[in-house]
Amino acid sequence: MADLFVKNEKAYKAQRAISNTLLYLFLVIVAIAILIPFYWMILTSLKNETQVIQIPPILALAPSDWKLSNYTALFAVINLPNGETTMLFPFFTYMGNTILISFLTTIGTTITTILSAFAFARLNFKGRDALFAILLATMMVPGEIFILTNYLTVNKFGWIDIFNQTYTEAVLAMTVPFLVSVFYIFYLRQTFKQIPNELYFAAKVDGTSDFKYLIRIMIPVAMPTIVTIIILNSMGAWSAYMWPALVTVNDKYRLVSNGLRGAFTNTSSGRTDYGQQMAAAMLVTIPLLIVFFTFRKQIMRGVSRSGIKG
Amino acid sequence: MKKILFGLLTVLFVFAVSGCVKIGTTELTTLTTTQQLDYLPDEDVEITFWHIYGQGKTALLDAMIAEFEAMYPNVTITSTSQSDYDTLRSTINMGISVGQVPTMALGYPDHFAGYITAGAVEPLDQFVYSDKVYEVTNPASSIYGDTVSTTLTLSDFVQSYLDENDQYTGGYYFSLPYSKSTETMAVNRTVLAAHVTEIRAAGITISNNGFLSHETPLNYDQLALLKNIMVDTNGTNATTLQCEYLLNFDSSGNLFINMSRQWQAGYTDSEGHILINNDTTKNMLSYLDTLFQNNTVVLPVAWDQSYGSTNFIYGDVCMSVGSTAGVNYNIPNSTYTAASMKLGIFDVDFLQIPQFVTANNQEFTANVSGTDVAVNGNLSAVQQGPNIGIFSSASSAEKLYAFLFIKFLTNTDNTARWAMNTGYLPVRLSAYSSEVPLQLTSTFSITYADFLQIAQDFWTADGTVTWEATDERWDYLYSSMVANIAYNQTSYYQYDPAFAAGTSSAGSAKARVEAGYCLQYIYTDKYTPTEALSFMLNQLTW
Repeated sequence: MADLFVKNEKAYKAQRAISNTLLYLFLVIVAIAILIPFYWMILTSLKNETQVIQIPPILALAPSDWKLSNYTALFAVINLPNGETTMLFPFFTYMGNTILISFLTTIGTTITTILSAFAFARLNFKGRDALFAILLATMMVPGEIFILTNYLTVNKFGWIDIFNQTYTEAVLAMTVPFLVSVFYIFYLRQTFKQIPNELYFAAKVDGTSDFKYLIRIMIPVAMPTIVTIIILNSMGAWSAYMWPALVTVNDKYRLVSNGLRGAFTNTSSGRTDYGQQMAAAMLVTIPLLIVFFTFRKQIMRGVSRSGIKG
Repeated sequence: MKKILFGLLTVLFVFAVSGCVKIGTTELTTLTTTQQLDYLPDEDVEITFWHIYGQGKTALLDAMIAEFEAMYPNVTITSTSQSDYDTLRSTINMGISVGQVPTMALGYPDHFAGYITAGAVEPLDQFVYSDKVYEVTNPASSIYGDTVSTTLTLSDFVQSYLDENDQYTGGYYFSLPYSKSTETMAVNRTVLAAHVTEIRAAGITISNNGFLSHETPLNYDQLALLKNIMVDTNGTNATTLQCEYLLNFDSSGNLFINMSRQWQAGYTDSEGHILINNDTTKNMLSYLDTLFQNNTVVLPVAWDQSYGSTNFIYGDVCMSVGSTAGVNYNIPNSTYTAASMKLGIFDVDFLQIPQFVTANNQEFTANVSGTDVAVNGNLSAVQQGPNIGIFSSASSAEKLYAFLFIKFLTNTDNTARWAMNTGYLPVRLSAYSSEVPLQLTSTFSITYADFLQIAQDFWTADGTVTWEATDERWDYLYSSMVANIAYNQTSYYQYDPAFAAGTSSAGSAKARVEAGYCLQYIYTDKYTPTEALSFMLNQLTW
């Protein structure tokens, strides 16, 4: 009998070792697949023009061979005919715009999402389910359709004046259409609905207002979900490309994603300076990495809770 | 059941509502033109000009704008970069639906084809052929007291550039040429010089130091002879100074389109008809397939590259056809890894792209799958690069000044300045003899005519000039070569018909992409020539 147990234990251990090996092998492969683009971005940013196009490609560079010229070129200042100076790649302008737009859309989306989700989850009013169903149905309409309708709406508001668009108008045009997300409302509503009704009724008995109940009880309880929403929304705003390009008439109002696309392509030959482009991409990525490492606990908790990968 | 029904009705409602939006029609609207003003307006006029140039090129553009504004002090030109061509086109396309378009913009022919279909572009003929003369009466103007007109001397423009810009509905000029380029052929002169005796024995004229004719393009029969001399199909051979392949074409799309013209095979027309389904195109593709198989012609896909210039520098291929704007990518130097450069650092020369005939409508014989086929040939070289146009939503005063600005940008001196500064080609023939000096560096100033002379002097001396090593002419030698070659090709430039996607076929931009894929599929043996052509047709027609 004891032999049988020992045999089973050995078999179990062997089985576990194999499954663990396979699991970690799989994870390592996935991790490599994820890390290779980052590695390649950093490596390319440290190559000179001829190293970038070398065949077969250079897979590694010794620190002594690193070229920082791509980074210094990003901050090169050129003189304009009117006596003013400008950076070859207006990195700080693009970054400033991107941070502002991300901040505004994230704050706005979070507020509208919390209030809407609370209304749909907790408040009783006529047509609530019908309204929610209509909102959910809009998720089936392709995003490209909304580009057109949003563009027309924003234009009606007078924010796309190609002759005199101000920075404020450009910011409004870039943010207002994205201050509401049906998906996030649905997502947070489901979280709110999991909070027991008894809590709400007890708070009501104590004379708590709906708003106070939302602030004091529901938001703290649903905080991991809200953090997830903040992260996903920030990432979406950070990498937005098409919409900012369409509704802004001046390059200096645009986001870093727009700048990365066009600034490094030779308009005559159509060739891209990948070294400089990757250096700029690297600089754009750094703030995201700082945010990730600063808030990694919250991010991991939020992502694992939602089961959603950004 | 009730819930399901409700859900379905909701979805239906949302889709119905999302369609309730009025957008600009994509059908060709009736052509309306504004009457050209009889006077030069003195009220303040604001012109917005959208382009894609980054800071490197806008410095000169801004300088030209400042000069124009000094000529017309009541005019303010706001020039804005839209980052890249895709953004420029999509932003304008969106703006057309709500009347938010600039006064004028840069664009490729297929961009303008789309704008024209939406009725958004102003035909420029009224200005081009105008007999109106305006006196500049503003004392603050730098040309106070002079007379100006919008009339253009069309005979001074490169004819094919004009043809490209009046190919649209009704034959109107909806745009005018601005930043143009073409293709030329870089050749490894060191390899040529090493085989001078054999090349002469094959009946091809070559100088002692390996210069082939810059006036007469090579033909494909001569390429076959050169292939036998300059190519080792087993791989580049540093001992015998032979490359693995003879001739690379950077753009497979351009190769398909240009060879279709050289064979008079038919490609597309400006009405959007796809004309490739014919025996001549099939023969042409089979002929090219043979050239692919015997290492005469190679595409960058052979090395998993977008361009073949790096492999040209590495010595994998002895000749390479590419854009005039990418000339410097073909020049080997010590920054490349020495071990990769199988033939070391070699001398480079530039030639016209190969042709089949020496004059239009001349017959030549091509060996197609072992059978000689008689083909009626034409001379052809691609022209590419954006044009400039005015939108019809602008006011009469804006249109008048916008046209004067186009005329200013493309006048003899300015098109020469623009060409030397940017690497594009002048749009006027008179620019080639322009005497306006351009300060290229703090110590080097040169006219376009003298700029062209740099390569001519070099060629005349058979490459043995006695310039000092510090002579700044060395820095401009290759761009001068390319400018000369481009000029020699001017008489047979051909434009790519432009059309927007329609009810029966894809747009011209898509056609170009599929033409490139077609040759790549043949090169990689994914499809036979017949299958590749059939696949291309399926992609372009419905």
